[in-house]
Amino acid sequence: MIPIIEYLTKHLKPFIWVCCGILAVIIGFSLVVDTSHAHSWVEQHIPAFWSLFAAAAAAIIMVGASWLGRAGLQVRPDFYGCCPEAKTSEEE
Amino acid sequence: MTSSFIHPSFLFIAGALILPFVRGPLRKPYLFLVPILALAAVAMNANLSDTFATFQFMDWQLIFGRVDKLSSVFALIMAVMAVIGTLYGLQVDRAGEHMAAWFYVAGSLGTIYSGDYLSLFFFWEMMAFSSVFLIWFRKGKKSLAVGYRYLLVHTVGGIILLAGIMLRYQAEGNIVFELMDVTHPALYTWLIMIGFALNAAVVPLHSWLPDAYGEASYNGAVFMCAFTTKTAVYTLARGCAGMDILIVLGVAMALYGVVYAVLENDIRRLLAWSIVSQVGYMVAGVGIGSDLAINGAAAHAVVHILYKSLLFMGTGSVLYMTGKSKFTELGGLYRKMPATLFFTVIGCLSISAAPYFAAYVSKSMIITAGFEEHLTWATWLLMFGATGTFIYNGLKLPYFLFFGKNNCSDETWEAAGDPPWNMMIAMALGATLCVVVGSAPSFLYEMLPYPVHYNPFTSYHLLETLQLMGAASVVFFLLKGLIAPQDRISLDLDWFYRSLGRVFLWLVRNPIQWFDTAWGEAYRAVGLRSLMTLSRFWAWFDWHGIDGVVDGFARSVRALGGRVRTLQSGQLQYMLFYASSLAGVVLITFILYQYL
Repeated sequence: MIPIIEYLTKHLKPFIWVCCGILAVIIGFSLVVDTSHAHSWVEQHIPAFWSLFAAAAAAIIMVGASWLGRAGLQVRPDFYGCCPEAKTSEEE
Repeated sequence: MTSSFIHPSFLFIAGALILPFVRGPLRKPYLFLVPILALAAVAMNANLSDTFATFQFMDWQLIFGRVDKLSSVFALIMAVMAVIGTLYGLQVDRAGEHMAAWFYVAGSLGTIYSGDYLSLFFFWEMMAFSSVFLIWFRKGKKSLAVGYRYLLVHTVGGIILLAGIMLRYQAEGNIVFELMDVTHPALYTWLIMIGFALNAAVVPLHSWLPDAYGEASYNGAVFMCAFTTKTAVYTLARGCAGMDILIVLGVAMALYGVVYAVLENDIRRLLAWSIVSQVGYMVAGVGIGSDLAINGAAAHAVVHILYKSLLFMGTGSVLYMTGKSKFTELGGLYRKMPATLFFTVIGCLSISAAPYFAAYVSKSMIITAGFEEHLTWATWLLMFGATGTFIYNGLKLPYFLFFGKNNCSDETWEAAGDPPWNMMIAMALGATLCVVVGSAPSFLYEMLPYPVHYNPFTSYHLLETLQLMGAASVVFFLLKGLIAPQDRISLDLDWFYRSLGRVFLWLVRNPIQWFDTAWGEAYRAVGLRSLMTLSRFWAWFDWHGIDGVVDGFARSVRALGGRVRTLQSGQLQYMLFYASSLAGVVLITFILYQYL
C-alpha cells in the first residue's frame, strides 16, 4: 500500500484530475437518474442538488467552525491550569 | 437465570471475579473465553421472546431477563463488542482493567435485559462505577481529575433518574420499565428522560464524554465508546420513543458535535465529539418514533458500535505505539503504520456512510423516516450534519494523522509502527464487520424491532451519497488550511461546571475560610475565655465547696480515729480499765435515764 500512496503523491496533479473526472461522471449520472422517489421538491428539480448542498454545507461548516475557533472558542491547552504535557502510562 | 435464559452479565461478573486468580499462560485464553461464552449466551437468548429471571423483592417484581427484538439486537452488538474489545486489549497485564471492562459490559447487558426500573438502576450505576476505572487506569496526571468529574456527572444523572423512578412508582404503583406516556409527560417522565439523556451525552449534558473518552486508557476507550451512550439510546428507545423534544435535541447533538470535532486537535477527542454527533442521529430517530425511525436508531447504534470501536482501535494503536494523540505531534504516519491506516480508513468510510460501508444502511433510514414524517427542517439539518461527519471523520482524521504535515518528533517517529497481532486481529474483525454489514444488511435488518421495508441500494441513494462525498472533498482540500490542527483546546459547556467548581473552591479558600478563622478566634476570645473562667470557678467550688464538705467529714473522722488510736496501748490492764469505766458510765447513764 505504501508504494501506491507514494506513487499517487508523486503524481498528485494527474490524480486530482482523475478524481475531478470521477466527480464529473457522478454528477453527470445524477442528472439522468430517476428522482421521482426523492424526498423533496429541490432534489427533484435542481440539477446535481446534492453536490451543491454538500459544497455549501462543507464550506459553511469549515468557515463557521474556523470563525468560532478564532472568536474565542479555542484557547491555550493549559487554560484550565492542568498539565498539558502530562505523561501517561502509555508514554511511560 | 432459568433453564432457557442465560444472563450474560452473570458470566461477565463471575468471569471478572475469577480473573485475578487466572495467571500465566492461561490468562489470555481465559480473557478470550469469557466474552465468547457471553456472546454465545446472548445469541441463544436471541431465539427467545419472553420475560425470564423474575424475582419477588418486597412489593416489587424484578425482571432480569426481558427478551424481545429490541433488547436482543442491542445485547448482541454489545456482546460482539466485548469480544472485539477484549481481544484488542489482550496484552494489558493489569487484571483490574479487564475486570473493570467486564463489569462495565455486565452493567450494559444487565440494563438492556432489565424489565423493571430497580434492576435497571442497579446495572446502570454498575456501568458508571466500573467504567471510571478505565479512565483512572491510564494513570496520567489528568486521569484522576477527569475520572472524578465523570463519576460526579454520572452520579448526578443517576440521582435524577432515581428521583424519576420514585415519582413514577408513587404515581403508577409499579416499577415496570416500559414505554412512558410521552404525549402527556409528567415530571417523572422528564426526570427519567433526563437521566437516560445524560448517559446518551445529549446536549447540553454531553461534556463528560469528550472529557472522559479522550483521557481513557487506549483499551478502555474502545469499551467506553460502545457501551454507555448506546445503552442509553436503548433505554430512550424503550421508554421515551416518540418524545418530540428528542428530535430537537438529536439535531442539536448532530450539529454541535460536528463543530467541535472539526476544531479538535486530539484524535480521540475528535472521535468522542463524533460520538456526540452520531448519537444525535439515534436520539432524533427515537424522537421521531415511527417504526422506520426506531429501526434506523437501532441499526445505527449497531453499526456505530462497529465503526466507532474500529476508529478508537486505530487511534488507540497510534497512542499505544507513539504515546501521542495530538495532530500537532503526529502526521505522515502512513509510512510507519500502513495496516492501521487501512483499518482506520475503513472506519472513516463507514462512519461517513460511504456506499457499501456500515452507516450507509442505517443513517439513511433515520433520514428517510424524518422526511416521511414531514419533519423537513430537522431532516435537512441532519443531512447538513452528515456532510460535516464526512469532513471531520472521513477527511480530516485520516489526512492530518496519516498524511499531511509530519509533526512527529524523532522519538515519536521511531516508536511509530503497526501494533501487536491481537490489536491487528481485533481491527481486522471490526473492519470486516463494517464492510459485511454495509454490503449485506439483511442479517441486521432481520434483527431490528419492526419489519423492515427499506432498500438502501437504490441508484438515487448511491449517487446522492457519492455527490455528497465528492463535493465535500473538493471543498475540504480547498479550505483545509482553515481547520488545520492547532495546539488549542475548545471551550465547551463543561466550562460552566468547571467554573462553578472553581467558584466553590474560591469560596472555600477565601470567605468560608475567613469566616471559619474569624469564628475560631471569636470562640477562642469570647467563648473559650468565659468558659475557662466559669470552669475555674466551678473547679474552685468543687474543691473548696463540695470537696470541702466531703473532705472535712473525712478529716474529722480521721482526727477522731487518731485520738481513739492513742487509747489503744496494747496493755491489757489499761484496756480493762477503759472498758469497765465505759461500761460503768453506760450503766450509770442507763439507771439515771430509767429513774429520773
